[in-house]
Amino acid sequence: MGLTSGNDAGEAMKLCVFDLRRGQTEGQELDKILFFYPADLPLSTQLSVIGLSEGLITFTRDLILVSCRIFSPDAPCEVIEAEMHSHVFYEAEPDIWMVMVVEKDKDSEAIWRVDALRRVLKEAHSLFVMFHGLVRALVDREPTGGLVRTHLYYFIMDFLSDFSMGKKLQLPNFRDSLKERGTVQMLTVGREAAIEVQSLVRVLESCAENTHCYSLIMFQDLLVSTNLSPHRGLTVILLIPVSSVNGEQGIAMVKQQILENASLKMFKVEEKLSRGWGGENAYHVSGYRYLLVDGDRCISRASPPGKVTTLTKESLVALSKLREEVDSEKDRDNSGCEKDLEVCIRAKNNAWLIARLTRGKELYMVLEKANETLLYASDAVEKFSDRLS
Amino acid sequence: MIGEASASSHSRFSGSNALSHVYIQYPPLRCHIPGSRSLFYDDGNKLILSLTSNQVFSWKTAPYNPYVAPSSDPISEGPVLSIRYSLDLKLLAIQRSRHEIQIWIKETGDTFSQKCRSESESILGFFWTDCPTCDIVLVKTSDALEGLRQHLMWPSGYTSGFDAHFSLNETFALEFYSYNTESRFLRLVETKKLNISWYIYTHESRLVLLASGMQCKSFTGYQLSSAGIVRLPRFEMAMAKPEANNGPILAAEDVHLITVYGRIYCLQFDRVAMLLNLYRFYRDAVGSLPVYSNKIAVSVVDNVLLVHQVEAKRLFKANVASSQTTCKASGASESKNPSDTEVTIYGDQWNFLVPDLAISASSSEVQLILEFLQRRKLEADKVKVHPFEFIYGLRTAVADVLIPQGKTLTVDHAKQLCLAIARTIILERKPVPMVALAIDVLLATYSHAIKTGSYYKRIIAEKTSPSVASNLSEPSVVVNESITGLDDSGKFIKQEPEGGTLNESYNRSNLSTQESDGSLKSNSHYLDPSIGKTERGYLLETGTSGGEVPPTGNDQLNSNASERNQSQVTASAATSTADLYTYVFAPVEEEMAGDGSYLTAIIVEFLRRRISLALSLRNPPLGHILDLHPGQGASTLADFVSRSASLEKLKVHPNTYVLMVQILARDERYAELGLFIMNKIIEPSKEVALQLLESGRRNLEIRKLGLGMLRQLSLHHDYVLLLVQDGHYLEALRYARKHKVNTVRPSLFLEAAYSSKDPQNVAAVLRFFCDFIPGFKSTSDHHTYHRLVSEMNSRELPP
Repeated sequence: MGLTSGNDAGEAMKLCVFDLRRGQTEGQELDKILFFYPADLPLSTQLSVIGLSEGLITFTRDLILVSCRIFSPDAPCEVIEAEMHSHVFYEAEPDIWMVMVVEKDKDSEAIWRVDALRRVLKEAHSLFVMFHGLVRALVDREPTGGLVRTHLYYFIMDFLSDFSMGKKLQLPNFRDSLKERGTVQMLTVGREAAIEVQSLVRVLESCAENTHCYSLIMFQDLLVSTNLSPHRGLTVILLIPVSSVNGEQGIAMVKQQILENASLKMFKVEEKLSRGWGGENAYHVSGYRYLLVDGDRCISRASPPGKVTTLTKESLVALSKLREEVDSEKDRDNSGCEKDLEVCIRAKNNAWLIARLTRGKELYMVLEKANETLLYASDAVEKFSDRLS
Repeated sequence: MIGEASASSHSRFSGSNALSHVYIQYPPLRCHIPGSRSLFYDDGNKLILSLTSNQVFSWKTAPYNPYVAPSSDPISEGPVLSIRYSLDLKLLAIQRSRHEIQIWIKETGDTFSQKCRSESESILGFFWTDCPTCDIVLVKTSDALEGLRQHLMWPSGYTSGFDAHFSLNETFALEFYSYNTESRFLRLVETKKLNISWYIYTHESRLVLLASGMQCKSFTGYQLSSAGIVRLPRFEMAMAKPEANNGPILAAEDVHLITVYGRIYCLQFDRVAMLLNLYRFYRDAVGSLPVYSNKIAVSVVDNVLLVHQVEAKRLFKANVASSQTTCKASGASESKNPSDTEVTIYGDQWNFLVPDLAISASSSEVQLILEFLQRRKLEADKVKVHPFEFIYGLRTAVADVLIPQGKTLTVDHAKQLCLAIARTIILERKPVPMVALAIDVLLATYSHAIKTGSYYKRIIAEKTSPSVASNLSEPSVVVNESITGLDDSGKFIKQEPEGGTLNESYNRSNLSTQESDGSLKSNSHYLDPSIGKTERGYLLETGTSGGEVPPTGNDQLNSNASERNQSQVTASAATSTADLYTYVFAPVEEEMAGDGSYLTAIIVEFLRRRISLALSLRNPPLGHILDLHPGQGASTLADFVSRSASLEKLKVHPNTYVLMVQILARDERYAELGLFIMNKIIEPSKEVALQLLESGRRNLEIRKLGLGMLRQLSLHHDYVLLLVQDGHYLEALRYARKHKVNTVRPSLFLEAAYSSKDPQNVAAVLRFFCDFIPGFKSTSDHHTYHRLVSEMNSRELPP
C-alpha cells in the first residue's frame, strides 16, 4: 500500500463513507462511520464532518418533500460549495453515502470539477462492489460493522494510493479536463485485424465450452474488444486474465485449453496489432486538443496527455468551468431524452473552448491557435466531427 | 483364422490421418474371456458385452481402441436372452425369459423385475431411449409360436444389432416405460397397440420401424427423438414379383436403417430384383443399387453408403446425395493388398452387427475376434484429426460427383451436395475450426473457378513443371494450385477401379505430404499459421498430387483432362459467397435458432478466410504493377483487372451481415454488435443499416448505429427522414441544409416541431423553410402552420 494513513492534519482531502441507518441514537454516532480518510483525524473532527453532511442531506431531503422543483428528486444533495471547501456527495447505495471534502484555492492547482470528483467516488464504489459485493450486504452480514470497516479500509486506501503523488493525493483537477474517468480508450483497428481479434475471441469462448464467457482484450492499455455490456461496471480497466469463468472447477481446464488452442493465435493477433499501432501519439490531431466521449459505450478518445500539457492554465481552467456548466445542464434535463447542445466560448486568452453534445456523444475541444472568428471555430469543429464519425 | 490372417498381412496405416472408406482396424479388439458363453452388442452404448455365468464384461467400441480393458459387472446366474445397459450406464436390463426383464441398479446392487401381466403376453425385445417421456421401451406380443421366434431371434448365440422379430400379423404392443429413480420401478407411460409382422430398431436413428401387410412391405414407425415420440406416416416399399400371384415377403433382415448426416434413410433389399432400394423418410424412393450377393450388410461413412456384398466379396460405394445416388464398385478384397492373395476380407462366418462392426467366430485359438469396418466417423475426442479427415471426406464427395461416369450426378447436384454437407456439419455443431475448413474448401474452389478464365494457362504450365517449390516467387499462384486439389483428388479417386488400391493411394498421398513438407514450409508465409500443420498438409497433398499422376508420356492428354475438370469447376461446384448465404447460413440459422454464438463464430471464421483469400489475390501483383514493372503494361494490367473482378465476386453477400446483426441483436449481445459495426467487421450497407434500425427498436444504441451508418453511406434522404421521425428535427434541418437534401417534405419537420408544443420551435422551422425554399410562403403548409403558431401564441399569452 503506497499510502500511509499518518497524514498531517492539514491534509487537503477528506473522504468518508457512512450509513444513515446506523447510530441514530445519541452517544452512538460513531457507529455510523464506516470509513474515514485520513483515519488519524480526531474522532470529534470526523463526527463533525459527518454530522454536517448528514444535516445537509436530511435538510435537502425535507426540502424536496416541500417542493420537488428546487432539487432533483433523485439526488437530494450533490454538492455544497463553501468558501474554503467543496463537499461532494454521492449516495452509493440507499442510505450509504460517500462524501469527499476538498479544499479550494483559486491560485493553486486546487480547482475542481465536481462531476470529475464524483466519478472518483463512483469508481471507488463500483470497484468495491465488484470485489466485495454491496456495502449494505456486508453491513447486514455483521451488524457490529467490523467486517465492512476492514474491507472498506483496505480497499479504499489501496484505491487512493493510485492518486498519491509524493506525499499528497493528486485528485483529478482542471488539468484533467480533457480526460473522462470511467471510460476506456479504444484501440482503432483495421477491419482485417478486427476480424482476427474476433476469431481469437471465439476461440477463447470455445475454451470455456458451455459456460457463458465474457472477454476483454486489451492492447497497450487500450481496449480492443469486449462483449461486456458497458453498464456492467466497465468503469474498470482491469487486467484480469483474458477470459474469466465462473466456478472454481474448470478454471485449470480452461487455462489448459487456452494454452493449447489460443496462445498461438494470441501471439499472432498481438503481432498484427503491434504492426498497426501508431504509438502513444497515434490519436493526436494536430491543432486540436480534444476529448470525445461515447457515453453509451463508456469509451472515450482524447489528445495524448503529452499534447494536453502544452495548453495554458487559463485554457484548462476555463474548459473545466465550461464542463461544469455542461454537467449541470445535463443533470437538469432528466426527461430521458438526450441533450443536443453546442457551446463555443472565447476565453480571455483568446482560445476557443467548444463543447458539443449530440445524441449521447460528447466532444470537448480547445483551440488555442485559432482564428478570430466564431465561424472559423465552428468550421474547425465540423471538420473534426466529420473526421471522427 | 481370419483374424490371424488380417493381423499379419497388412500394416497399420501409421501417420495417416486420412482413412479409406473401408479398412479393418488393426489390431482387432480381442474380447476373449475364459468361460464366456455368449456375446451381445449394445448399440445404444456401443458396447460389446460378453457373458460368463456370473459376470458381464463390456468393451467400448467407440472411440475405437483395441487395447481398451473391459469393465465388468456381476450378474446373477440364469438364462440371458438379451442384455442392454441404460444410456447413462446406471442400470442394466437383462431379459431373463419371455415374460421377465430384470433390472439391476449399478449404484446399489439391487435388482427388480418387470414381468408380463399374463401368460399369453411375451416380450420380444426392449431398448433404452433418451426420449424425454420414457426411458425404456418393451415390445410385446401375445401369440403362441414363441419357440419359432426364439429360434429366429438368436441364431447361434449372437444377437444382431437390430432387433428383428417376426410373427404373422399379430397384436404387438409398444410399451413405453419411465424409470422412477426414487421408488425404483418402471411406470407405464403409454402403450401403442398395432397389427404388425415385425419391427426393427436402431439407436442411432432412434427409429422403430414396424412392418405390416401380407408382404410386410407396408411400414409405419415411431421416432423416439429428444423432442418426444414422433409418428411417421405410413409408406409402402416396392417389391418385384417373381410370378403374377406370388408376392415375396419382406423379411426383417432385408431392411436396414442408416443415418447420413442426421438424416435417416431406409434400405430395402429386394431379393427378387436383386436391388437395394433407398428410401428417405417423408420422401419417395431416392434410388436403387444392384446387389450381387444374397447376404449383404450396409454401413455409412460421411455421405457414402457402403454395401458389403458378402458373398461376392465386394464392396459397393454410393454417394447418398439429396435426390440421387451414384454407385461405384470396388473390389474390396483387392483393396487390401493386391500382392497377398490369401487374404479375405469377408469371412463366411462374419456376422455384421451394427453398420460398422463385424464379428468373426471362426478362429480356433481366439474364440471371438471383433473387427471394425470403416471407423472414420468423426468422434469428438480426435479434434486434431477431424478437420482433415472430414475435409478429405468432403473433397472425396465433391470429387466423386465431379467425374463424369456415364450416368452420374449433374454438376449442379455436386454443388448442392457441397452446400448440403456444409449445412449439415453446422447443424451437427462440429467444432468451428472444422466447419471453417469446410468453408475454406468451398471458397477456394470458387476463387479458383472465377480465376480460371485468365489463369488457366498458367496453371496448366505450372502443373507440368517438375517442382512446386519453383513457384516461390508467386505465392498466390501456389495457393491457387493447392486449391485445385478438388480435381486432383478426383483423379486419384478415379484410379481405384483400375487397380490402384485404396490403401496404396492413401499411403502415396501421405508419402507425398511428408516428402514435400519442407518445400511448403518455405513458402508458407502466406498461409495462416494458426490453421496448423494439418491444413498445410492438406493443401500440400492436393497441391502436389498433380505431380503424382504417373507420367503417361502424353502431356497433352493430361492437360486435356485437367482442362475438362477445370471447366467443370467453373460451371459447377463453385459456391459463391451468395450461395453460402442462401444455402448455408440462412437455412441453418432458421433451423438451429438459438445458438447464435456458434453461428457467429462460424461467420467470423468465414470472413477471416475470405480476407486471406482476397489478400492472396491482391497483394503481390499490385506491387508489381505499381512499383516494379511499370513497363509490363498490358498483360499485368489485364491481370490486375481480372483480379479486381475476382475480388469483387468474392464480396460477402450483404445479407450475411444482415444475418449477423439479427443474431447478435436477438441474443442481446449489443456490445459485440457495436464493436462489429465500429470495426467494420460488418461492412456498411443500406441493408445492414435498415436491419440495425429494425433491431434497434428494442435498443437505442443499436438504432443509433443504424443512423450513423446511413450517414456514413451518404444516404442523406433516409438519414434526414429518420432524424425527423426520432424528433431531432432541428438537427435534421441543419443536416438537410448542409447536404442539400430537399426531398423530405417540409410538413414532416413542421409536424415534428408542432408536437413539441413550443410555438418558438414551429416558428423557427417555418422561418427556415421561408428562407431556404423559394415559394414556400405560398404553400398550404405555410398557411396551416402559420395559423397554428399564432393560435399557440395566443393561447400562451394571458388575455
